[in-house]
Amino acid sequence: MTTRDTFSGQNTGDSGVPSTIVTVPFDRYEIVLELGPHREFLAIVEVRISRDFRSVQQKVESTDYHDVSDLYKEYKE
Amino acid sequence: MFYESEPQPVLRFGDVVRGYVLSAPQIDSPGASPPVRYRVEVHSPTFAVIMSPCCSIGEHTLAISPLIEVLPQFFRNPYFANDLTNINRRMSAENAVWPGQWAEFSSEEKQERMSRGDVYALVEYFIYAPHDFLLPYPVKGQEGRETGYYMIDFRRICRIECNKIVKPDQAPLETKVLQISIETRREFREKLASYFGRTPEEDKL
Repeated sequence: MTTRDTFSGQNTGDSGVPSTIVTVPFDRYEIVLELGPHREFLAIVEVRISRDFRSVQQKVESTDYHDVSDLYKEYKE
Repeated sequence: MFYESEPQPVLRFGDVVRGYVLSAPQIDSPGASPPVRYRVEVHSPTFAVIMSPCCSIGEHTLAISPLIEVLPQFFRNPYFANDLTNINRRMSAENAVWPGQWAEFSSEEKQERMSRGDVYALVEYFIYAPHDFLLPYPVKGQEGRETGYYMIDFRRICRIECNKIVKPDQAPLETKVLQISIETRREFREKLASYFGRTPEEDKL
């Protein structure tokens, strides 16, 4: 994959490869991956047990949410 | 991974497809029978996403939603900017807004928001990760920033009818562009179910 968010580039003087950390839920686990600038796989950073122990049914029944949509509508630089 | 590396030869919930037309009737005077003034505008988005559950694809009917550009404001939040697909998952109250906004909340409001625990924010949207097939585009109002993320808005779901859609495996498969992974489809299903499953404040006991 080569498309990406190109804004988060390096600072002047940085010499390391810019990367992104992504957490992927997988069954009862969360896999933390390091992706390169083109979203290519670089490494598995961490494998941890998900702390969300609810069943799918319990998750769907949890209907509360963070009401923040309006905050993202009118933003201007 | 967000997408399936080897898509199946069937139409599935969450697939990115192309070649469909969408319409949304606009009624100036609802209530009159028949409506006296209305317009039907048809447009053909480059890509759309299948919103019908896998088991409900067929009988010449398909629910789809256009794949649209993300809101530029999302990038104001570093938690989102790092990976916009974070919007697809439950999150803490602090991660749901940018640091400056969080700092503006009073202690009481912070406590009230944190008491909800990890829940969805931006409930109407589901983000699609960048892919070679999805062209990057400049983010409006933010010079020099380009992104390959797209999203769907659950409020823009449309129904189309097509005689070629008989069953998931008897359908115009040439329209299929991308298939999301099992894990991504699970996230998609859970967020969509949560969107429709919210209980209005006035109905809470």
